[in-house]
Amino acid sequence: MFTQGSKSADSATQSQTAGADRNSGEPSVISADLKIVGDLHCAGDVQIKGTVEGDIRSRTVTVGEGAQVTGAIYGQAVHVSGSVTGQIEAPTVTVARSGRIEGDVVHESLAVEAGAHLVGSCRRLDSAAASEANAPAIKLGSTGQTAEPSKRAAGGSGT
Amino acid sequence: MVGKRLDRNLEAMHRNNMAAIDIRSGRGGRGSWPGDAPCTVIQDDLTIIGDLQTDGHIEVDGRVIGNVNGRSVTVGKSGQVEGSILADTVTILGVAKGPIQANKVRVGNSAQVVGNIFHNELTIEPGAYHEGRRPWRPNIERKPIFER
Repeated sequence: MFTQGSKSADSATQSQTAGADRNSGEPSVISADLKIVGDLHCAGDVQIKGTVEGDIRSRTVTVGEGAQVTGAIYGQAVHVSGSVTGQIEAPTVTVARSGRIEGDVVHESLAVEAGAHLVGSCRRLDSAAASEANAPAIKLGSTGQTAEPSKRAAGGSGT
Repeated sequence: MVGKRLDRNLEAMHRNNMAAIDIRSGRGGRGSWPGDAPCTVIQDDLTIIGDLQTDGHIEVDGRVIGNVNGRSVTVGKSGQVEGSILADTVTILGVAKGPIQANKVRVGNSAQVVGNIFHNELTIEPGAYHEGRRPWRPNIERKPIFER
């Protein structure tokens, strides 16, 4: 019993931080019924079918139909079939017909299906901002963005 | 003899509740759950800093720094929750720091729990680490953290 007590939680924390960089290969799924108030930091793929109020940083982000994201999304590839209120910043952005974005889209490659709802400016990600913006996950408390912060999440529609 | 029966009961409980998920390896099914309620899977590369609320199942193999409120919450072997957990059923195989309130609580032998466990039914496997009190409650209500 007392040797068990020496199993401190710190060793678990270290292994967990190392595990956070490990690619599991399977996407994390935020189901339709789940509401998250807070930020997500992922080194792999995230599928969102629920509600997220906060920022999302991941390699691949898929906002499913019926999902609602209020906050910025930073990734390598972002697929939007649901509703996003906030800036999206990724080299590859695709918006499906059911997608709805209120906010700026900063991209290198953008595909928007006919019928998608897009309110905001679309501009290119230059390579300097790209390498900084898409640094892999777990940078707590820092946005690390060079883009104008005033345009965030206010749906600055090209004024 | 009692030990064998306990192991068999635990196996049966695990099978009933975790049919889609392999407890030993901690790897989850692909977000599917036998039955009706939606299942959220937080893989080991995801960290959520904030609160989670759902009426379905949550499996945490990554890290949650915040409170978790769901019908059934499972913290997998690689999972870590720092915050309170409020659910109908909680299974801990990883690390949990914070109070746990659930009607049914199961703490596996790979678990490390720091915090009080408020329960109606509690099972702690041999080998589990728990630091805290284990107060019994007749009924634990799952109140939502925030408005939907």
